[in-house]
Amino acid sequence: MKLTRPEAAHLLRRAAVGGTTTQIDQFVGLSRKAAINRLFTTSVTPDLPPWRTFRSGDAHYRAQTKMIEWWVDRMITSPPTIEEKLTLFLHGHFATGREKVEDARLMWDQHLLFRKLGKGPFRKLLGRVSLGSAMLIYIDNETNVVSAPQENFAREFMELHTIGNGNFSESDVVAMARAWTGHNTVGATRENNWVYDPTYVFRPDQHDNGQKTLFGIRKNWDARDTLNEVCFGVKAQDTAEFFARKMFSFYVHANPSQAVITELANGFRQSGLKVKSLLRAILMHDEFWAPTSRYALVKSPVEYMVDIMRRNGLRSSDDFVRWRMERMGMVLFDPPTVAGWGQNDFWLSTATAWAKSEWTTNLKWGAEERGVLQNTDGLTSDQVVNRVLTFYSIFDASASSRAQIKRIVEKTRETAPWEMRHVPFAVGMFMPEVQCA
Amino acid sequence: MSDSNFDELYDQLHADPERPLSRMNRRRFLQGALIAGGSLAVPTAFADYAAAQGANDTVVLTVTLGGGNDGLNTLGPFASGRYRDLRGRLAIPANRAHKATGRMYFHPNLPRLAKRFQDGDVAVVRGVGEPLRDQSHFSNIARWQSANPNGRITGTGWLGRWLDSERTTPFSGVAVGGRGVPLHLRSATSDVTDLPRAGGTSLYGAERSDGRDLRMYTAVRNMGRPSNRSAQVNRVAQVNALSIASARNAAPAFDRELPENELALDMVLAARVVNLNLGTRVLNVTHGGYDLHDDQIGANARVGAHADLLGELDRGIDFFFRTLNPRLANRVIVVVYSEFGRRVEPNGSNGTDHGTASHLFVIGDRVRGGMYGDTPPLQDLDERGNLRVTTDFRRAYATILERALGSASSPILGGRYSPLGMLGT
Repeated sequence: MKLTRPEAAHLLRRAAVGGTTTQIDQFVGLSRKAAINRLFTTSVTPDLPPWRTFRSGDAHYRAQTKMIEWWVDRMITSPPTIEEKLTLFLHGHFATGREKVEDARLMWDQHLLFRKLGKGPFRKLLGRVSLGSAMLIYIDNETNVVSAPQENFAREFMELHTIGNGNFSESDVVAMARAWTGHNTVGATRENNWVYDPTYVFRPDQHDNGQKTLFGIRKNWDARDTLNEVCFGVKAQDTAEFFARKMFSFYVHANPSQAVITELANGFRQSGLKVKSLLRAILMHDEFWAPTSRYALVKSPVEYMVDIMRRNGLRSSDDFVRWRMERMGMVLFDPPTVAGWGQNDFWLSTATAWAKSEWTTNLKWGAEERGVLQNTDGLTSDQVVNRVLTFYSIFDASASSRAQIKRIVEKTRETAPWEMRHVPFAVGMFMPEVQCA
Repeated sequence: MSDSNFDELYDQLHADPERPLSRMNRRRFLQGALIAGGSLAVPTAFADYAAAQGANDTVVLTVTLGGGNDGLNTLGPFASGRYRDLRGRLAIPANRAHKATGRMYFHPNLPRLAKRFQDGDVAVVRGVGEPLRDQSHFSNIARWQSANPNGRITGTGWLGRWLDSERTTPFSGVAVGGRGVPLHLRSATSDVTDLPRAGGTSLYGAERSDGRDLRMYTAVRNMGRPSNRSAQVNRVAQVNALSIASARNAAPAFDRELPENELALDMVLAARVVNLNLGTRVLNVTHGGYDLHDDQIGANARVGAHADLLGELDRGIDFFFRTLNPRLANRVIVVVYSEFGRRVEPNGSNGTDHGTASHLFVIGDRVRGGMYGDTPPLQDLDERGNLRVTTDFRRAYATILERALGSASSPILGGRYSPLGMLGT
């Protein structure tokens, strides 16, 4: 089966952070497998800048802003690849936030892990992220010691990162917390609220070496044993299903059946929990390509911004990207809770709509300068409509969207022809198809 | 709906942006939308929003304390030896606290709430929660907000289902703060406005002096008409249309300056929305940051992260009532709740882990102040060292639904929960 234009556009909206019509057309005619392979093999990882690029004295807030701008530009300019979307997914899955972690460099270190290990075995990624300073600080394992264990890390590690709620007991939380005692950070100096370069340390004297009953198994559990157990031991199926469901909901639609999840989890386990194997299976899945999955997700603000900026030739230097993100409720490197960002339905709110509109209506004034929709004089209304739809890569627009674009083209021509260069273009940004993925 | 209806709307907007749609046209729009839309909620996007509150309608503002508030240090037996032993370094000294009643004290940073309590305007539901299922933030808050008898988490919340039982406008339910509509306000058929922290005439749809804008608004609103397309595309289009249609009603909430503190800002906005008389009946404000596994206290138990949060909460509640039109004061109640309390014994990081029972506060002129529900005894903690729940939170909801919102609670809560005495009928 060769990809049609609407199918290629769907693939790029989901597997990548969108693409222009020119980029989409390079996938038309490929088989599903070949198209997905291209997204997997297009990697831009070697170009990652060194940390000092972002360093801004001791002002970690400013460093974070630079990281946000760098990432947005990277998402805009990368050729279509799974890397950027997968990194965004992993950032939400292993949520940590700069505001609590304080040190932006630790967030950057973690970001690199997502890029370098994100496609590989989940066990390795999980271990490196869990034992990374950003996570240890964000969910308080830096202060988890034998004399007074604390449970924040233990609970979120199981509930949000691995086996999922309902698959562990409260006594497992106690045992997990004890297993992780002594896995702290060192070298952190705090002055004026800034933390400088804390790194992971194991403190044997702060570790609980006693017997602990975790998942019904009594032994002297240590952190590394728990990592292996959730990935390959008695909780392996729970972890595989939990991660598969989360990934499916992010990439396909919100309501996967248990049968689909079991099938994906089984394959994921057979691959040795290789994330790329799971992601490939999800993207190849019939449900991914089903017409009912198309536009079945609401774009997050970051996806929406990147898509619109790319089409307009904009870069972060053209706008106050972080400020826009704050208005829209999605600041990179600062998710709202330990569970990351809401998805899909979460973004269905008037507040998000107003924040998006405020941004897009500002953009429309620059549309003419950017040469969008020039020379419509000789075109029929339908031709102008097609130009707008092609600009947004909506090849399967609903009759309603098409009709409203056409209506505004006609009304504008009739009452304010000098506005033809930006008004139809601006209405395009409000098309629900543009705001969905 | 026929195109001619929309042309009419378009032309009216064009001819005179300040003139509201005539009643007849509005009715025709509604009929048309209903025919086209089937069971979808879209008609409200074209309805007249400025439906005032009824003269006796009660308004309920929920304040969601996100992360699990330490009820025991918010209002507790600070002078009790047992409390001091169990809480250790985290114990609040009674000498700076505000006496409530009996052995109970309000935290030192809650002077205004304590004063309201002394005035008889605060009902405290003690030991509130539900039997322990797990101690996840997310499933606990979802169960509190879903409020189903078996703890099942559903797509609608208890106040959302109440909205479903009412004739509503998009301002009947308002989420303040621009952080999404929380689950307890999510409904099957009613639109809820999510009010951002900044707006005014910059709210898209509010500024209606420019013909170019009006053409845009009409196009976006028309896209919101239900049509044969995927459900999610329909919903996005409807929310866009809704934002434009309600912008002008919401804009005056931003007319005057707002406090900088986020809770105070949200509380002032909430009060202004009520004052605008848009028919608002239920609102939510969220105050996050209560998940204090570490550094809950600072140099002593009266300062630090929890003390700061309670100070913000105290001032925030005060901001709300001071902003509220005094004529509405006896019609508005504030309900403060959290997904769970904290463990009685501190952990090793000057913090507390997730607990169970906590307090729920109901505040307002019409409230019968005092203590409701039994205090969980500090001598009889559960096997994890948590306070035992004495009062199902759904009893507080039943009280609010029946005595404040005037509805039968059983159909909404899916079971019979006996109301508490904190609100008169």
